[in-house]
Amino acid sequence: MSAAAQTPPAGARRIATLARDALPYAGLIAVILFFSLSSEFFFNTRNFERLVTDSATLMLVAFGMTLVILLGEIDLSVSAVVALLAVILAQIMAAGAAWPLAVLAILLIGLGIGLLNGAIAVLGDIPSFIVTLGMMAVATGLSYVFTGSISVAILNEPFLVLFYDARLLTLPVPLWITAVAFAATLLFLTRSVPGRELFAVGANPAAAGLSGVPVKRRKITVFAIMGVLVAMAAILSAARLGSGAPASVPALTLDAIAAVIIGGASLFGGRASLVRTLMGAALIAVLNNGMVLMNVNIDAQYIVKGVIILLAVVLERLASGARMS
Amino acid sequence: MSTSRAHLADYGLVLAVVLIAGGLMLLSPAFRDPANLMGIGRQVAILGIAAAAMTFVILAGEIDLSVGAVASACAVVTAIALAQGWGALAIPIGLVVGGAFGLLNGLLIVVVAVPSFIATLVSFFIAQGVALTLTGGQTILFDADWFRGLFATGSLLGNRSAFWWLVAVALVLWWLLARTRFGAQTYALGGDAQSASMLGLPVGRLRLAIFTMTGALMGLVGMILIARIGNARADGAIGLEFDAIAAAVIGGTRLGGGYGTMPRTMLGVLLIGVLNNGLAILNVDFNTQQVIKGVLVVAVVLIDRWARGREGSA
Repeated sequence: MSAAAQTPPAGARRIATLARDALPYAGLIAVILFFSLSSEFFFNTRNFERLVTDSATLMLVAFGMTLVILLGEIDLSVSAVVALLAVILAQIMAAGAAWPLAVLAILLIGLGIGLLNGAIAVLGDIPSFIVTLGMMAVATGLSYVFTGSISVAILNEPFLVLFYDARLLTLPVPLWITAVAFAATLLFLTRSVPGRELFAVGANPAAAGLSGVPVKRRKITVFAIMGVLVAMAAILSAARLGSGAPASVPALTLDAIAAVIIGGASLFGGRASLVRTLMGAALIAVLNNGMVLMNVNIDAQYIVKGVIILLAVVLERLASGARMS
Repeated sequence: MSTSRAHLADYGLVLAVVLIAGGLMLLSPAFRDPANLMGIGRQVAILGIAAAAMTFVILAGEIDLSVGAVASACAVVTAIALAQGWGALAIPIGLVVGGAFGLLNGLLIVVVAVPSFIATLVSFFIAQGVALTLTGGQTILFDADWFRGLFATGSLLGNRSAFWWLVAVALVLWWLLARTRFGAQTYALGGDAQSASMLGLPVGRLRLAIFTMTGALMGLVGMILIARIGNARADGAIGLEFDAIAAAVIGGTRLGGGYGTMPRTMLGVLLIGVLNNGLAILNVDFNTQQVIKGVLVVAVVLIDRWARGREGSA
């Protein structure tokens, strides 16, 4: 607790590092095996297609959350903003606007909300969890105010077909959108200079700033990217549900953070991997899907996920040589 | 100029409470009804206790995002114990469940060195899962008039027992913070954790104590919640963390720790209570109130940052 604080021995640390890096892959294989053996409905093409289509929302948000956590920041507003944007989308189309116009508007509003989160947090020098907690309250409130607490149906058939049922080269459109978003984010993060700089900003903002990285601009950019990904998630979610509905449970936010943490990201910024986040998100998606198939009380999922995150967090701290008291 | 800024930071809140309460009194006869004004006292009981605990947590430089879920879980467990006819045993059970979640938070933060917003998010998950699983989405009914009287509906000196629980908790926590070594060490920890540790303060034990105390108080909050409405739901106190942080921050408690006091947090609680009550009387719906609170919190933090903007360089 004081002078007795020690760094774990190197051997233990190496094992923890291995375990941390293997967790998303091993966990994913384990849950797939588990559900394949315990449910006759799990291991088939139809269910996998549904799983992939249903998890597109989580995937998109988790990609954004990876960048945010890489910077040592957090975004607690995503669930609420997805719900708000889906509501606005449904209302724009209900008012008779063409769907491309509605989709464009949602992407712009998402971008605006992301910029706002980033600008207040970065320029106002306020912790991002408090800014996004405020945004969560505002967005949740607005989604209820706009709808009068009832969901708004989407009757625009072309929109519903395109963003949920349609296929391109035999694969569902939401899968394509997820894949493109993944590829774009991965290219940005690993192949572009601003993307590479995010690792430096997350690891040590002061040092990054002294080396000439525009720290504030990079941070605001990441929140803006998050806003666009959240908007895309809202569009897919609205198409899947066929409506825009206000929501008060931040399940999506928690799932996205869980995916990133299971993916072994450092909780203090500076280290994260988009590929492992993808595995982490897939693990969460399989859990969500499999538990429903097995008729497990849907609520027990929270406990299971909580324990998985706990495990991931402990491994991450051990692997990075955290001082244990 | 920096003096006037400092004054704004110090007295802006009192001014805001007076202005808002005064405006509402002018606008609404229903608001200025003495019975309504007394009612605000018990309406803020739950928020007030959560905010008092959150003040300790924030002063120590940490955050607790699990309080709403933990209070909900405690509410459900206590209601089940009462429904099973365990009588007074339900009370320690509720407190212990809350304390256990608090201890889990503390252990994750101290032993595993996890940032508090992640550690308490883990507890949020687990507590929410426990509450949902135990209720199966149903409302838990119980029949215990003594319990309801003790924690919420009983009358004492012209106000309800829920209000007196708030008074008791606020006074004890105020005393702890302002008059004991525990309180002084909490300020030191939040002001500069590294120096506090170097000076030999029991930093880990302090954090454990603060989070465990917060958890146990969420047990009390859960009990007041179910005593007030007579049943328990899994989402009974969801969102409480935001209101508690809001009250503490509006009261001038500085995120990051080291600066803030209990009376000022209670002023923040009063402001939110007056605002909620007044807006409800003016027929502004609950969701709009949420929007207003969200904007208010971020605005207050921004103003606080601005008010001490030149502090460092001056």
